[in-house]
Amino acid sequence: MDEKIRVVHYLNQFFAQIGGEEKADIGPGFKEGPMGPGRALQQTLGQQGEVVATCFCGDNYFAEHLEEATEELLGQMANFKPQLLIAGPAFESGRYGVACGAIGQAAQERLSIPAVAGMDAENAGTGVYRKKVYIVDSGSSVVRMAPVLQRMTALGLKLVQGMPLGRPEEEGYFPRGIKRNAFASKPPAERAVDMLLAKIRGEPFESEIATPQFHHIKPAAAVRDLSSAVIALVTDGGLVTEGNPERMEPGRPTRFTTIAVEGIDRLDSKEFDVVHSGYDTAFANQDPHRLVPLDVMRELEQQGVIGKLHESIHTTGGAHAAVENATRIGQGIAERLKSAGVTGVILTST
Amino acid sequence: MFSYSAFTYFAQNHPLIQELYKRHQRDLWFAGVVVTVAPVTIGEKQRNSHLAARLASEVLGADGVIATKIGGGAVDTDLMMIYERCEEMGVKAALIIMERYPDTGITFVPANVNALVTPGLTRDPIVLPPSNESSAVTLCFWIIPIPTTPIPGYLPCRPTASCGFGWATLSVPSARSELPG
Repeated sequence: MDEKIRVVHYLNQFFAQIGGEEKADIGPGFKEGPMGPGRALQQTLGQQGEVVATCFCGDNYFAEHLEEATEELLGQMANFKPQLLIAGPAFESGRYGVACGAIGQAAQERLSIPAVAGMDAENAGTGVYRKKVYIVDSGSSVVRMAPVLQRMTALGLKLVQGMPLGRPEEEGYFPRGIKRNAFASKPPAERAVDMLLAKIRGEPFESEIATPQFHHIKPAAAVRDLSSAVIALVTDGGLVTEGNPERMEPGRPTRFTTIAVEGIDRLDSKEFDVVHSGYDTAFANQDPHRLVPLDVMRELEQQGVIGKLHESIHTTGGAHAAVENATRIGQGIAERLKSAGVTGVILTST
Repeated sequence: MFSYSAFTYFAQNHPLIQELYKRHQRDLWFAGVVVTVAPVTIGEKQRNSHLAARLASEVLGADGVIATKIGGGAVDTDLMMIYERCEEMGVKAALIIMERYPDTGITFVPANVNALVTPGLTRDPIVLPPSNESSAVTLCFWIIPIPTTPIPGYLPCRPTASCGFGWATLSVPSARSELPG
């Protein structure tokens, strides 16, 4: 490699040697070259990279001004044209850990550079950011600064060079909840027979897929009086306005969309589309009421069977949703409906 | 071999059936095969899973069942229902069930289902290692049947050598430890 990789290092006020807790309120700062543990980082990088700048911020300041601090640090960081951000290690320090995670995520998203943080497993930042940023397990003791920086550097260099990463336990980072294919020594059929025989004999065996943990949700009480109820229509069948202007995903949804139906009695097939990767959408495209029964609901509204139909339909595409995203979409829709005074919902799926 | 389906040849030469034949009268007795379908409505699914489990339990007299499938998302439900009905009838069950995206896996797993084997993720590309000639031939055997052009009407998706049948020697290592906490 001819050119050295340009690295920016993030530290809190303590490791930047500005001061302890009494200096935790200082705002973001920058300095060219390495500071404090950055010198060990530079040694680890050797000829492969150069710590072009160190950015730092007081722990309290960052915690209390998360957005402004991130904004300012990123703005200044961009001037140094970094190729990699190394954040921490923060060890057990929770505020420092969260700052490392936040600045790491922001650098990845906005500067499009990889970031590696270092934290203890119990650090609050680990729980919040381990799925978004590579976080090397630093343990709790500052004594391990040098080996932790070595792991962070090795990981960071691989990310910059686009080299494949090993599994979390090999590379020393916290699992991000991502699975990858790998070759096994025995084919699935053989493993399945082994597993079944162990189960029949009462011997220990381990399932290859863990049972997802679902939160149990207590259903809301039944609607007592339909004639005064405000009913909303919600679907995961992928109803969108013609041409899908919001580019709703047909599968693996990350968001929902809202269709205003105030004063509309029927869903005209010319004005609506159905996008969904999980079923044949031809029939719903032909007549959207097959998916969302607005026509019947309007009749019931006119007959006084229901009090009122909510003015918008919330829709998403439900195929292959990640549980996390589906939960977030559901909560988002529920919050909107609740604040709009909706008392009942009809969910139509496919 | 497309991820979600398979040619007749692969059903006729099912790796699980071959494995059970290989071990017949050694460490197990291969009692037989129950072939069933995955219907659409919940009532049919309930009836069908009962029928399949009863055939295994009462007609074949099996102590254990391994269920596999062809097909996508909704069929996971049938497999899980067959698993549960078998266990209720005292027949130990295990499943070979493919997973999909690296961050999603499968989502429909009842709490009491504890014996699952994964033939890999269908939507995670497989990087083949450099190999000598003889192993290259073996790998090609799995890879060649993948259609190289998208199937009309099907959304762009990346076929991999993974398959619900479990033909390729694939797995998802330490799935347990890498699942979202």
